[in-house]
Amino acid sequence: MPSSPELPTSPDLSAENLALRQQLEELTAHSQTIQTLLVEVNRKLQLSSASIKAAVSSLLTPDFFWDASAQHEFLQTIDDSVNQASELISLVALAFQIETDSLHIHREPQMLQEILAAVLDEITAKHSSDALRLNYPDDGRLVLVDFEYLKIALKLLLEGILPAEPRANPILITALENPSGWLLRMDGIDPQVLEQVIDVVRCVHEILTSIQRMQPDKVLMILLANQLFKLLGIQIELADHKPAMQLVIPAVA
Amino acid sequence: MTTPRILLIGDDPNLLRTLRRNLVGRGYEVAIALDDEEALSILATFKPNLCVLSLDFTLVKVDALSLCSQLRQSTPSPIIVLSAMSSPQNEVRALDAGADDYLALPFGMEEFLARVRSSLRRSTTASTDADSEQQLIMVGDLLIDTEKRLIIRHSEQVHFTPIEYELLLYLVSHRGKVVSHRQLLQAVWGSEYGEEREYLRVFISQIRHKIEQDPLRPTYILTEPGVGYRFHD
Repeated sequence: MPSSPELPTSPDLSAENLALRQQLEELTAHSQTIQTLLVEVNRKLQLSSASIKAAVSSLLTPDFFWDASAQHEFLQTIDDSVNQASELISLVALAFQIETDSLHIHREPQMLQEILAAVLDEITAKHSSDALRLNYPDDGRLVLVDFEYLKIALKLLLEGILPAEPRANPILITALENPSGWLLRMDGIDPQVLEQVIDVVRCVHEILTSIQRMQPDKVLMILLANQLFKLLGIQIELADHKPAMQLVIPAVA
Repeated sequence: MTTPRILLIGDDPNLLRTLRRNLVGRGYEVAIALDDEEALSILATFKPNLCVLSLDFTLVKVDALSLCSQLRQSTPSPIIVLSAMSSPQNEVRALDAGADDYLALPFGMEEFLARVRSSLRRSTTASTDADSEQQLIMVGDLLIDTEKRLIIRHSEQVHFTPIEYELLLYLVSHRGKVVSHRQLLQAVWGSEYGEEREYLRVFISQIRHKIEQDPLRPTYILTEPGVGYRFHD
C-alpha cells in the first residue's frame, strides 16, 4: 500500500499563511499604486487633449484673425500636446501589458554597448545633448537580455530621473564589467530624485508618498522601468558611494 | 472702462499658452501663476477682475480646491474652475470651495470666452448696481443694504460671496413668486446658462446656512420641487 503524503504541520501552515498574507498585501498595495498613477496619467492625457482642442478651436474661430506668429504658436501647442499624449498612451499601454502579464520577452545575447548607444540617441533627441554622458569600453562580455525591452526600461528610468529643465551637470552612465556581468553606474542624479527612485524600487507602499513630490507620469515611468528590469533579471541598487545608483546586468554564462 | 485683468492659474504650459493668447488677442490683460504660492502673491498685486483656475495640477502637492477657497477668501472677483474630472460631485466640490463657474475639459475656445465674458459682465453689473441703487430691503430678520451690498441679520453682518448676494437679491426682489431654475441661472450667471441646477443646489444651500434658523427646514427660501425656488413673502 502506497504511503500517504506527509501532512504539513501546524507551524508550517502558519508560516505559509503569513507569507501568503504578505504577498496579498503587497499585491493589493501595488494594484492601488498602479490605479492611482493611471488616474493621474489619465488626467494628464485629458489635459493634452484639452490643449489640442483649445488650440484647434482657436484657429477655427471664424470671427478672429490670427497673425502668423499666433498661428505658429497654436500649431506648436498642438504638436507638443500630441507628442505628450502619444507618450502617455504608450506608458499606459506598457502598464497594461505588464499588469496583464502579456509582455513577450525574448532574452538573447546582446552587446550592452549597442543598447546604450541606442538609448543615448533617443534621449538626446528629446532632451539637450548635454543631458546624458555615456562611458563604456568598446568590447566586453555579451549580456542576456531582450534588446528592445532593456532599451525601453533604460529610457523610462532616464526619462523619470532627468530634470525637465537642462542642468549644468549631465547624468553620467558608466558601464563596468565585473565577474557576474556588468555594472551600469549612474552618477549625477539629483539626491532627492535618487531617494524617490529607491523608494519606488524597494517598496511599493511608499510610492504614493513619492507622488506628492514627483510628477505621477515620472513615478509611473520609474515603476514600469523597475518591473521591466525585474523581468529581465536586472537589479537596481544604490551604489557604494552615494549619491549614485547602479544596475546589475547578468552576462551570458 | 479699464482693461479687464484675468489671472490664469495652472501648470500645464500648453493649455495656459493657448488661453493667454486668446485672451490677450481680445484685449484682456493676463497674468499667469504656475502654483498656489505664486497665485496668491500675484493676486495681491495684479488685482484681477477674474480668476481662471485649473483643478488639474500635474504636481499633486498643489491642492487646487484649497487654493480655490483661499482665492475666494482673498478676492470678490469671480472664479472659473477648469477640470478634466467632470462629474457632478467634482462640480459641487468646486462650487463649495468658492468657484462661481465650472468648465469641464476639453472645451472649445468660444465656450471658454463666453464664460469669461459672462463672469466679467456679472461682476461689473454687480458693482454698477451697487453704485446706482440706494435702498434698504427688510425681510423678516434680514436687512439688505443694496448700496453697500451688505446682508445684516440680528444686527450682525453676514458674509456673502458675490454670487450668493446676487442670488438672494434676485429671489428677494421676486419674493412670493416662483422663480424657475433657468430664470435664476440666467439672471445671476448669464444668458448662456440654464441647465446647471447643481450650481443652484450648492449656492442656495450655502445661503440657507447663513440666513435660516434651521437650514434643513427653511422658512425664507423655499424649494418648489422640479421648478425652482420661492422667497417666502
